[in-house]
Amino acid sequence: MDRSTKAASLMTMIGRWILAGVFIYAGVVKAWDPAAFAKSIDSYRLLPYSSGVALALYLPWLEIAAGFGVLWHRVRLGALGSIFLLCLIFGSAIASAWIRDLDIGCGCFGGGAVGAAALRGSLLRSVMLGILAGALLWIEKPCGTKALPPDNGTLS
Amino acid sequence: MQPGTTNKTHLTFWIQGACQAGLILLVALVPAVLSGWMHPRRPSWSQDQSRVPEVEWTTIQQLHSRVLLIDARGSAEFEREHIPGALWLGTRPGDEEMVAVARAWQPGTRLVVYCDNPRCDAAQAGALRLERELGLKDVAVLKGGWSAWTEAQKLHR
Repeated sequence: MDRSTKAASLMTMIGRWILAGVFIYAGVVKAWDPAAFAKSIDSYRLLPYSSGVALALYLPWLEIAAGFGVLWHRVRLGALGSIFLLCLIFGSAIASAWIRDLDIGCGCFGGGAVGAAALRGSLLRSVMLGILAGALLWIEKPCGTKALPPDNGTLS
Repeated sequence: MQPGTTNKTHLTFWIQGACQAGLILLVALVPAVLSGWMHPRRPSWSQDQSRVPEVEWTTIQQLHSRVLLIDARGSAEFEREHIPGALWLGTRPGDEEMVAVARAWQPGTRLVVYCDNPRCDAAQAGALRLERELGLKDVAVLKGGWSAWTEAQKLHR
């Protein structure tokens, strides 16, 4: 394996662990207090309240499952796709709150700062994570896997 | 590799991804359902139970009972200006702030929490915490918050 391939492999593994870590942590924090997360979703004023409650109960576990899925090669593709879509959805919701000048927090990691600056930071974070998920998804494509050696350093 | 084989490989790739995503979606459903059934902090399905009623400033002025105003804005805003007599709770109240409210409260007092404007949520969150953690019953949120109060002061001048 030449040095550039080793470096690419290492970067990919680090990227997977970062993405998995962030989503597992975010999911655990929200699964701990779904009532607070339901209030956060309601504060976006995008969904009927009962839909927000259903989402508050389901979304944290989806994040946890997708986070672990990134680390297991058998479901990595689906996990990366799920995370990419989640980043798109979260980013859109945060952007809409920012545009409507709502004085709320993201709710992405439980409580946190509120206001336009906090929403901007959360939006940037969603975009960066979406880009990371997209890049890792691109690497998984059939023509993209030729440059990388078989899976290493992750759950198998 | 033949073009047809490449297209088939890509199609298989996306189908495989969709199936894996579907599996993840299903796996997440199990703990989610259990959470909705058994979690000690599961949310209420009824919105009325999770929102404190709002009250207009004019109504508060007409109340004969005691009113304790609670400021749920940031400390900088509170230091700069606040409704006279208001107690600071903050956007993320800690034990110290909650204890201060508990000490200031007397039986027969109505707590009215306010934040910056109609778009903020800190007043609702603070009011719910006061209800749940201190066991206080007569808690409301000032409709329109600090903005509504300043507008009312301008009208009276």
